[in-house]
Amino acid sequence: MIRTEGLTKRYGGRVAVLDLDLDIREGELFGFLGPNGAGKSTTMWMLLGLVRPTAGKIWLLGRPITEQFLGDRRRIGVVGEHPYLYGEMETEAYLRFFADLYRASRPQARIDELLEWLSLSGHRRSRVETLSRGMRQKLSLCRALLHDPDLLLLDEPTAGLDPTGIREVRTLLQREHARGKTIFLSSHILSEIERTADRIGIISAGRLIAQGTLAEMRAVAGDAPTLEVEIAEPAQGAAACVTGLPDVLEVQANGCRLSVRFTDGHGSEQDRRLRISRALATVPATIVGMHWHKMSLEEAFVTITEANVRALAEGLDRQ
Amino acid sequence: MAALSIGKREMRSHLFSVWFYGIAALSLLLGAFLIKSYMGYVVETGILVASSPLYAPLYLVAILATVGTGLWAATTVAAEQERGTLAVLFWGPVDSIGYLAGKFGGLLVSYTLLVSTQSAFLVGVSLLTAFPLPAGFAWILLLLWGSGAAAIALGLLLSCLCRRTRSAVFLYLACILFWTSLGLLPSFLSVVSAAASVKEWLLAVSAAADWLSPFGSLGRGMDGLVAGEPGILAVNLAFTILYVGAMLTLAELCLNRRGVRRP
Repeated sequence: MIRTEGLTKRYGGRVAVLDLDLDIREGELFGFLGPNGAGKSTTMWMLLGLVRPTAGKIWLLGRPITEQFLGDRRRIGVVGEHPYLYGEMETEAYLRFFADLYRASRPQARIDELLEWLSLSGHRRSRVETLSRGMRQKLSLCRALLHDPDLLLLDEPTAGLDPTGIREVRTLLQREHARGKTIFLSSHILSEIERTADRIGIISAGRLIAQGTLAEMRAVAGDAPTLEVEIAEPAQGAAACVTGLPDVLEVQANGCRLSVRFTDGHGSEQDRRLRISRALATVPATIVGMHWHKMSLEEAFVTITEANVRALAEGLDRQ
Repeated sequence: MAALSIGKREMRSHLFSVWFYGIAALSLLLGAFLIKSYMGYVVETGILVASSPLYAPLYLVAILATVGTGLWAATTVAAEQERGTLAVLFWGPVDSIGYLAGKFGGLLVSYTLLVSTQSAFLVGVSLLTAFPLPAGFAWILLLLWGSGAAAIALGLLLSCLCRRTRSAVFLYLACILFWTSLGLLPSFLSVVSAAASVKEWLLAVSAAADWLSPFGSLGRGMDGLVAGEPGILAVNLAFTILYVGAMLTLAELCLNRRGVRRP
């Protein structure tokens, strides 16, 4: 649905995006992450054909972007980093204008449906400039969905929303995703991406430094499986008896808690739990709880981007 | 199709603005004031000094409408870019040609409504006062319409040139002031002492610059009308079409070159 090859944008001597290779498949929800100024918005603008790349190629909806027709744009819905609305218009009139522009089918029914889903029905006669920031953001999402597009390009769609609004938007995106829509979602709210995205791409300083599923991201970040074990009371030798077990990388004891880090080996989680239980039974120590700790997307993101920044800095130092 | 939607929005936006009614009211008031002064003179002396007393009011109201609509056009693209709404349109099925065609068409319709209202006012005055309408009234209206189209196209070009609304307004007003000054140049040169060659050179520059003015065709066309030479009128009407085409093409090039991102 979206493919880029060697996509590069330079503004004078400054590199905004460098050698970006993306491949987003039809029906996929792709989370696009990156720190401020990493090149996310520039990438979006290039995907929309409104910023000309310095180098590289883009295919959108199965066609090179240079051969796109205006009709193809009707298959895309966009939410930008800011809502950018006509403040003097009424909410419903604003949506009618865009429904007309995109030649949306059953426009009134669709407007009613979207306003209802995003809790804006009570504001259909309100002037857009009187709406709160969160409401404006929701209105821009309504605009993007009006014509039932096949591809959604969303840049921070939950910016400025309260928790209820975030939940409404998440539900709406999940609904659209379930209907087979392809979604390119750029966001700073990592928990949102973690919950919704099929695959994730991390961009830093204009370079795509990681791309894959959440599990693949954890692996890139060097996440080792860690079993958190809680025992009834501190026991001498508990840590020592676990340390010698196969696959165990490191054990940290803290009172009644043991953190057992495993190598990224082939043993199943169940086998590993069983081995730990048996070893602790010999101490003896009574286990009252066990759970696997997995690196969150936020932790993976920070680890990956910090490693990339360090690598870049070292590269600059060498130069 | 996109041009139609954008045109409808632009027309509504102009028609429901204070600016539209302000210009309409001001031009009608000034026109009425001129007519009243003619009538007062007739009542006082019993003599009608002008052969076509509605000519000057018609010219005045139409020029005000033209300058006013041109100024609106000069703000429209720059304002959309400043607000970021221009980019939102271009994310969708809108390109620069459709966008400018829509803006131009919408403003031309609202300008036509404005000039029609003013013309209806003058026809009414003519019926009430028995002042004759200017000779070739329909042709004058056609020339005015062309001049309005040219002013809108010029306004759109300047709006596409400038990233800020304020700059576009200043540039448009500077252009109008420049051409107004050029119009007054022959009268000015007739009262100042300067070398004949300098005067000739200045008049030649003025005549050349007049072809770049959106009001140039109106003046030259009216001269042709007064002289009873339909050829001059036709040439100037054709030139207006070329002028509008050239301005809109340049505007489109500017917009494409500059991009639609918010500054």
